Amino acid sequence: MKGEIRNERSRDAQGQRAGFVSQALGTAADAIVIFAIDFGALIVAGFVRFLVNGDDFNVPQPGPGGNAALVVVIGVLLLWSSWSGSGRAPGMAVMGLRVVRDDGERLSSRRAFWRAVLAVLTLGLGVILVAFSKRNRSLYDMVCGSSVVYSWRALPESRQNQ
Amino acid sequence: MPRPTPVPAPPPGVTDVLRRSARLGLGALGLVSRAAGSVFARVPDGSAAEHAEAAGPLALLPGAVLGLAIEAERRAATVVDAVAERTAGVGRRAAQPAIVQRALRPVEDALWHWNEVARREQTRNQAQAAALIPVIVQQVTENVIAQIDFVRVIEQIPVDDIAGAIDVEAIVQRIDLGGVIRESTMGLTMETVDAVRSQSIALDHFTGRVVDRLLFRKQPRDVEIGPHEHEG
Repeated sequence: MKGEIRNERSRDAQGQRAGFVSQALGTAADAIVIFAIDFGALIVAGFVRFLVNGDDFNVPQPGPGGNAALVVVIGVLLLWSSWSGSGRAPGMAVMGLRVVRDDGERLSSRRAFWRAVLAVLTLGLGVILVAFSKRNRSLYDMVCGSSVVYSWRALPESRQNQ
Repeated sequence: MPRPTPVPAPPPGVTDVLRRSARLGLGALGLVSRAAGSVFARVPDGSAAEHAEAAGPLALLPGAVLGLAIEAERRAATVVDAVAERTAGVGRRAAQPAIVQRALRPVEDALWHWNEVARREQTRNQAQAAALIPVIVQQVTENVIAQIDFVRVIEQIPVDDIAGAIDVEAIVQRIDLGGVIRESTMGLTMETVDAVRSQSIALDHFTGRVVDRLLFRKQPRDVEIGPHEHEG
C-alpha cells in the first residue's frame, strides 16, 4: 500500500507524543528554514534596491537588532501559519511531527500564534523540557495546551478541514 | 416459482452399449491406423522407396477393410436390435407367473451378487488408475522434453525479424517515463526519510528511558494524547 509505514515500532508510535530527539531535530530544521528565508529576504531586498536605485548589488546589512527583528517576524509568521493550518512547520514535516491541541484536535489560530511567539523568543530552547517531562511536553506545550505528535503521513482532508 | 428439473435420460440398454462400443472401437481403430501411417511416413526407411512404386491398389486395402467392418457392424446392430425387441416381450410374458418368478429368484440373487462384485472391483480399479495416471503423464512428459532439441527450436525463431517489427519509439512514447522516474524517486526519498524518522523515534525512546532512570521514575511515560492529570 502506498504510504504504508513498514517499521512496526514507528507504526505503533503514530499519534503519540514525540520524544526529545525528534522534537529537537524538527526545531533545529525549522530554525534553519527561518534563517534561510531571512537570508533570501535580504537578497531580494538588495536586488530590489539594485533595480530601483541602480547602485551596485550587495546584500543589505541591517545590523544585529534589525536582523533579529527580521528573524523574529519571519519565524513567527512561518510557525504561526504552519501550526494553525496543517500543524506542520517545514522542519517538523521532515521529521514527521504535527502540533495539535492537547486533546488531539487542530490547534486554534490564537494558540498557534502565542506558541510561535514563545518558540521564537526562546530560540526553540523550550524543547529541552521534553527530555524531562513525564508526558513529553515542551515549555510551549505546557503554556499553550498543545502537544507534538508523530504523524508521518498527511491527515485525511476531513480531519484537516475541521 | 421452482424451476422444473429435467427428466434424466434412461440408461442405455445392452444392445445400445454393444453398438456404441463397436462404433467406438472401429473409430479408434481408424484413427490409430491413420496416425500410425502418418508417423511411419515421417520416419525415413530405405526399403520403403523400393516398394513405393509397387503399392497401387494394395494401398487401399486397410481403408477398405475398415469400411467393411463398419458396414458389418451397422447391419449386425440392426439384427441385434430386432431380436432384442422381440425376445424382450416374450421374456416379460414368460416371467410373469409366480412359479416362474420363484424359480428365477436364485438367478436374480446370483446376478445381484456378481453385480456387486463387479461394482467393487470397478471402484478399486478406478482408484488404481487415478493413482497411476499422474505417474504416466509425468513419465511421458519427461520423455517428450528429453527428446526436444531446444537449441534447434530457438535457432528457428526469427529473433531479428521480430525485433525489427517492434516499434520501440511507439512503445517508449506510450510509457510515462517521467512518471515512472518520479514515482521511483519519490518512493526512494520516502524510504530514506522514514529511515531517519525511525532512528529518531528509537533515540526518543532511548533518551526517555535514560532520563527516567536518572530521575528514579518507575512508571513509563504517558505519551497518549487526551485528558490527563497534572504533569508529574
